[in-house]
Amino acid sequence: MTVLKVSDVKKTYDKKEVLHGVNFSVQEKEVYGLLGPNGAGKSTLLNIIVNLITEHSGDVEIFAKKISRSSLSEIGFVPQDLAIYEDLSTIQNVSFFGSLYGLKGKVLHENCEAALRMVGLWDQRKRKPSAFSGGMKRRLNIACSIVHSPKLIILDEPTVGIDPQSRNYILESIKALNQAGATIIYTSHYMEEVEAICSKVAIIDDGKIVENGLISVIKEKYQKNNCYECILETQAKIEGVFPKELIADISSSDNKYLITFKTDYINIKDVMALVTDKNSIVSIGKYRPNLEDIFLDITGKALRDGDS
Amino acid sequence: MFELVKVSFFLNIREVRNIALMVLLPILLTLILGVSLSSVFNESNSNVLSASRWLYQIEDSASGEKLKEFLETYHTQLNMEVSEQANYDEAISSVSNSGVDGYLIYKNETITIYKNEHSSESTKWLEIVFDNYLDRASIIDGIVDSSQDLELLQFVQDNSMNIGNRIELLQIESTRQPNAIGYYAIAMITLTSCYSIVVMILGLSEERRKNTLKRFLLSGKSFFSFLLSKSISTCILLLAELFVVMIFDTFIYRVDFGDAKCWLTVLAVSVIFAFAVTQFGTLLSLLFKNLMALNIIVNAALLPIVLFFGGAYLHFYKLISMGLQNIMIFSPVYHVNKGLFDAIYLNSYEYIFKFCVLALIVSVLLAEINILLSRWRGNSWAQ
Ligand SMILES: Nc1ncnc2c1ncn2[C@@H]1O[C@H](COP(=O)(O)OP(=O)(O)OP(=O)(O)O)[C@@H](O)[C@H]1O
Ligand SMILES: [Mg+2]
Repeated sequence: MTVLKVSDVKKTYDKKEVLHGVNFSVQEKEVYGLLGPNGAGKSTLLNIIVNLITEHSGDVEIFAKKISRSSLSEIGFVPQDLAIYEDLSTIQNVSFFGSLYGLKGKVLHENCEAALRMVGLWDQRKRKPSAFSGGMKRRLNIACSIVHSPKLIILDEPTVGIDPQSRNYILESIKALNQAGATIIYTSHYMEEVEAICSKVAIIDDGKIVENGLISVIKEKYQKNNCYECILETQAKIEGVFPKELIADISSSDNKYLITFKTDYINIKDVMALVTDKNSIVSIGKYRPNLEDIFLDITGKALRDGDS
Repeated sequence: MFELVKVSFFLNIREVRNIALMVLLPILLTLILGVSLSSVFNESNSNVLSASRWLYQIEDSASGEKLKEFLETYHTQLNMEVSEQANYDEAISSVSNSGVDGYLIYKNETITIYKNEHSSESTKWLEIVFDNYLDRASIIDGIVDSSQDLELLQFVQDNSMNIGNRIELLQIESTRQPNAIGYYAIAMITLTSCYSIVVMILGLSEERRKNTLKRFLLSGKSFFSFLLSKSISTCILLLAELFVVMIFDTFIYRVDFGDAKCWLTVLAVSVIFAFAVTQFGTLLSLLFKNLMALNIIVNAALLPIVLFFGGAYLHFYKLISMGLQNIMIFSPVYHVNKGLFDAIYLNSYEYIFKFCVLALIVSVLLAEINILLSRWRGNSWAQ
């Protein structure tokens, strides 16, 4: 079942088009990643999906219905910027936002507990978020968005700028939510995260989706026949294993080498035939690019500048 | 909806700033200024202003007797020395020579006052008394004729009510004369209602700044229902605060707000006024997104000007120059004060009723504009 269908969405800010016709769809129980650098238009796209931005062209359908205020209760949206009351306690925050969806009494209380346990803040429920760390605030931000047990959960960079521990907690929570039956849309510019939790991904750059589909399929598609990864014995040297004149480029870390040959070799056997010193090779195989490489390959730029 | 109101109310009262602004400030100001103002009215302080000397000529009629009785009973409170003078020319010449401050003639149900402009400060008190009791019920008009050295102030009777009855009313009500604290307490109630504009604006902009407004919209609630719940909660907060202020005024300052009907009128009027004010605040918030600019507009310009021209701090507007008096009528604060005075001290509810009807019409209009604006600007305001 198609949970979300985005067709030809365009958005213009002050005469500048920031989304140039975006199309993609998300199926039930998928964890769908939206990967793109800063300013790619991820937040804009998500805000359009959840009806916060209403002036745009193109269509958004949720559960096969055009997005409207009444269908919003099916969605849990975690905004990129914190949206919590610092003056209210953790449980009051979650409970208030739950009550906006019409939950009351025992159901509300149970949902609050479930949401807070999910993000690991149940023990802190009496504390005010003003005393929380950045990571804890982000977790509360998530809890506030899932308290009404939505079928579709959309997270806009929930892990930006937080400690690794909180990040792992969040990633685990997302997996758990998915296992409990929710469909997830996850935005990030950290490709490791997307690779770790998403099955499908859309790579977005400069307001366009440049690639989308199953991660494994995309990786296979961008695999190159002249690029091999090879691990050698510690003492061995790559010059002694492959004839130098066949190699276009080598990069290495420790005894792991990434070799780009001048010509393509479809089959691993063809590469093995070139090897002069088979005993030095621990393992060899076609290089499987990660999403970062693929992004670089498609757009010619790095996903992140530095390690911000 | 109820949930929204409840939480925004809850958020409002958690804001220390709001409580300080709306409860402590009026009480403190009433305390400081009320006490200092009341000294002006105390008999013990009558030496502060030298007693003014008045002559009067009052016709023999039932209402004339009442007026005479009034003058003779209350002249010390008014810091006046009064004596009868039937000779018109003599009286006028004493006034012209500044020996006497004023000459009051009551004939054919009309009060005419000739006053000496050099000593006008002290003569103004009598005018204020007449004005408070007579003009307030729109029975008479004040006409100033400065063609001569003498200022002629003539109070002309309205046909609708016999002036004798008015003076009788004056007698009855004089047991409950408004004192300085009373004036001040009412001004403070108006002021507190006025300040709900700040609570509204801060409430709205906080929700936007903290992104929590987004969550209202994400839950499928409309922007308008958000605005409405905010204004209702602001009014509920105001009502609670006014209650505290009035209890304080009644039991600590012993301000006489009259009977339960007056009491409820004060609360009801304040809330209607506040609702109009909060709608206005919403309009401003929608028009000016920048909180800094809004704060400057409201706190540094709008409120002081409206309050100042409304005479919020000083009910004795006759002491203010004519030019200011003409501007005053444009300030809603002036009308609330006047209406509340009529209700409390004259048992006359007509003025305040008219004001409430007008305020309701204005708030509905403002709310309409806000609906249109929030549709038009829509969710982009929340971003
Ligand atoms: N309110 C706005 N007015 C004008 N331009 C905007 C506005 N919001 C976003 N933009 C522009 O739209 C583009 C996309 O922004 P968006 O926030 O969607 O990017 P993003 O992919 O979410 O980036 P990030 O990873 O930094 O969150 C940017 O070029 C940004 O400058
Ligand atoms: Mg973003």
